[in-house]
Amino acid sequence: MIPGFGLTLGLTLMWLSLIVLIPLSGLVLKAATLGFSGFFDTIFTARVLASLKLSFGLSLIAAAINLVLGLLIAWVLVRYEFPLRRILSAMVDIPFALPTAVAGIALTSLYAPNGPLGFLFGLIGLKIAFTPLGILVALIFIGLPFVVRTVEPVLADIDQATEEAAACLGATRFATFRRIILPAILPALLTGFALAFARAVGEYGSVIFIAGNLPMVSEIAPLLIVIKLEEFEYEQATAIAVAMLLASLALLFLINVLQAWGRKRQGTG
Amino acid sequence: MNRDPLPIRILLIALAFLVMALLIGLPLITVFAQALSKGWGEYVLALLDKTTLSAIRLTLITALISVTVNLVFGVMAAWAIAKYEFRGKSFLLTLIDLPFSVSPVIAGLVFVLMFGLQGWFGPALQGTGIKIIFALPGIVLATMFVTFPFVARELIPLMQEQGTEDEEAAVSLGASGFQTFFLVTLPNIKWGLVYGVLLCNARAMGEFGAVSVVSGHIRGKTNTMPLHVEILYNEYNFTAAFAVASLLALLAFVTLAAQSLLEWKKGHA
Amino acid sequence: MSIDAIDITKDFDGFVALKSVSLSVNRGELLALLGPSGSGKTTLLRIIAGLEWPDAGDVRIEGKSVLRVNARERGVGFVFQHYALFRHMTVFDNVAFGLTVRTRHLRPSKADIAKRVHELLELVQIERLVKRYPSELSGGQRQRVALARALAIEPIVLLLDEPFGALDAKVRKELRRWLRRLNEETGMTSIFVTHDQEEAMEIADRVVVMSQGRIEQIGKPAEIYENPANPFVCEFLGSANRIPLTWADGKMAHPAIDLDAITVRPALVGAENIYVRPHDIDMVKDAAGVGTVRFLSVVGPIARVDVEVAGLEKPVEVDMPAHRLTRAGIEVGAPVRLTAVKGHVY
Repeated sequence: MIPGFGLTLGLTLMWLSLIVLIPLSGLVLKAATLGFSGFFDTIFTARVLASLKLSFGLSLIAAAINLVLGLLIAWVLVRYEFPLRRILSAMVDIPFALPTAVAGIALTSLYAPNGPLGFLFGLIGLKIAFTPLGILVALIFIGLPFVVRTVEPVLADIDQATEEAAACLGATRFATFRRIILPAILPALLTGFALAFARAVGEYGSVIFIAGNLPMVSEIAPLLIVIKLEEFEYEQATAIAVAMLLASLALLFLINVLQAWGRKRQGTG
Repeated sequence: MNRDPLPIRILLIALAFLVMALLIGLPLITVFAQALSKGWGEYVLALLDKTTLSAIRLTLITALISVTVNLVFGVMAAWAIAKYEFRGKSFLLTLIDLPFSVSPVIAGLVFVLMFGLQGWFGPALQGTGIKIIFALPGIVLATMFVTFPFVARELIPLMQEQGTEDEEAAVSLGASGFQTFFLVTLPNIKWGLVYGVLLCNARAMGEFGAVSVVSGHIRGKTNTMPLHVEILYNEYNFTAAFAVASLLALLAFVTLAAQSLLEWKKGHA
Repeated sequence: MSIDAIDITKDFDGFVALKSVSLSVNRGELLALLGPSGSGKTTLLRIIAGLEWPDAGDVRIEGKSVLRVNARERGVGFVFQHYALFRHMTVFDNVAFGLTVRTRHLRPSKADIAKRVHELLELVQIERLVKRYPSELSGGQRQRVALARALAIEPIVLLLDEPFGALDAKVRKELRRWLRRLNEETGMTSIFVTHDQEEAMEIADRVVVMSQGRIEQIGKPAEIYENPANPFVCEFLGSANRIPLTWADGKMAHPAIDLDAITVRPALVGAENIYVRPHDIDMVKDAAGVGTVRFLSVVGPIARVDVEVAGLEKPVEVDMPAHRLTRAGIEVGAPVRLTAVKGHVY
């Protein structure tokens, strides 16, 4: 037996409790002091509901778009050889590594009406920055790597021979994609989707610059927490946070289930 | 590998480049273009501003403390999880991952609820004169929360893959627990460790939402670099905002370059 | 169906996998492509299947060129080396796949597909595994699923790439006899690739020996074993002792080994070497013999003996029945005399 089990596990649990678990339970305790009716009274105000709807709705759309874009990029990276492939691959991780505030101001100045892209979209009458569309752009930006990086290894792992087998059995390219490749990567796709969604729901830094932050229109839930805090409305901030936290936990559970499914499907579980 | 017809291949590759250029390439270019829009002189001047320098200093201190602490506990957590079998292991893993799925704003909020004036320990702290919220300790705590999983997450799969045989051999030859770790385990995981630290550091330096909630935004005192970017941007001092942002973008580049280098090293080991 | 591969050449980025290879496969034949790895045998099989395209040459099925027909339309049954089963599908869905992907007007009804799948699973004797996933099957069972899946589309020809390579010895023997029977019962033209000469010799009607992108010899198993065309074939089909020759008056000789029993066609007079298989050497204990026994081991009924002979770098390998070894009193260190009774001169 290797020594150190008690020490390392003990310190890990202690540190986890101090930094993560106790502070989070403090949040839940605070919410408990509101009582059920207090909690729901806070959540069911028009402004809070609007912000939650905006955050979850846009995150869902952004994750869905990332599903398609992420699959495209993972597909190209795994299956084709082409110039600048490594550069393209390294760029995928930029949203992971780039501080969100930097992404936020960069996207804003690009998509603002006087920015290069904002001007172009303005020509076709589309306003992006300072509208929910701007939020969507930021959420797509930060969510893209999740889908690419979860799908990539699974796609690379598909045995070339299974596709050849499908062809020999008379399957068209499309049938092979739909019946062999897609089912094989489906758990990874959905995991990437859920990860991108979870990240988007809680995202703050890259969104607040481009959002315009108009109450009832383009005010995301995390921003509303900050606003409530600045107004010293701690109970309301807590209630919104708990609602979001519960949603995050549900998502986390879903992600775990999806990953277990993926392992089973790959025949390794 | 190139089984798809050439036109489809070219189309998909072109689409991938287009998506990446629009979504990721343009924002990056914007950061540097805006930072240098008034020439190098203005750029350097913006960086040498007193409040900017103090923001840089605060960011470095925060990152140094939180990365060091998370490094120690990340290694311990990885050791406990990878080298032993125990009940509730997957649950512990989920808990370690938890900060990934909590909105950064909530990560800040929980510490305000703990140590803020109206918080659980607020009144007690007020008597001692120790300031946590709107001061360095709060910033460090919030940063530790959001960067908690990085090192452990990077090490656990690596250490699980390497198994326990090396360590068992070392122990059977009479090595102590610490000798086993430093002489046997550490050399095997050093590159994973370096990568975990780099990621942890990038997030620690770039964290915006969590720090924003606990910092109080006191110029020259509790402003980290990302917060400073926000203030400058909101003051319409775009050149300076993007100048500081460009430093953070460079940090992201360095992190990604190191990642590519480490991956290349792993592939050629 | 008859298959003709004509003058096939294939080059992979500078590595020449096949150099103008020509081959005709008769209707109903079970043919083995035999050779070491890198000999081009799998490439040839994949070209016939339409999974690879030749740089030059033609593939004809029943006399018609199929180079413009891709794998999907070629109607060839292909069994992959590692089976390539669809991991997320049950055994039933794997076997049914080829039928369910057909266009609507060619697709059998659900009931007909189910009937056909069950017939096939019965044929490969794994009916009870119909609802399992590939990860829940043993290697032999996976191989049977792969065979049933390939047969489901009623292929015009069955191609198998190292079909038994990954299986343990017992299952391998059972499955190759089964393949032989399948070929006899259905009369389906079948080609399989193998590097195992025993496998090729046991079940194939004809064997094609390949090396470095070329065909070295084609023939019935007994034919090529008895008359290997060249040293490569001779050595690949089983161990052989290479013995350098000296010639006098049109008769070959070796100072240590008696070759008088072997007659040589006049055309071969002056050849450099003779290849003699270990069991084609007679050995007797003889104090005057120039060979010395260095090593011997008894494997069941056969005794394997290494004899050191002056003038030969490698010891001569001799196989003899174990009971004769004891009767002749041959042991390590004993002086022996060697007589070759048969050999191949090149």
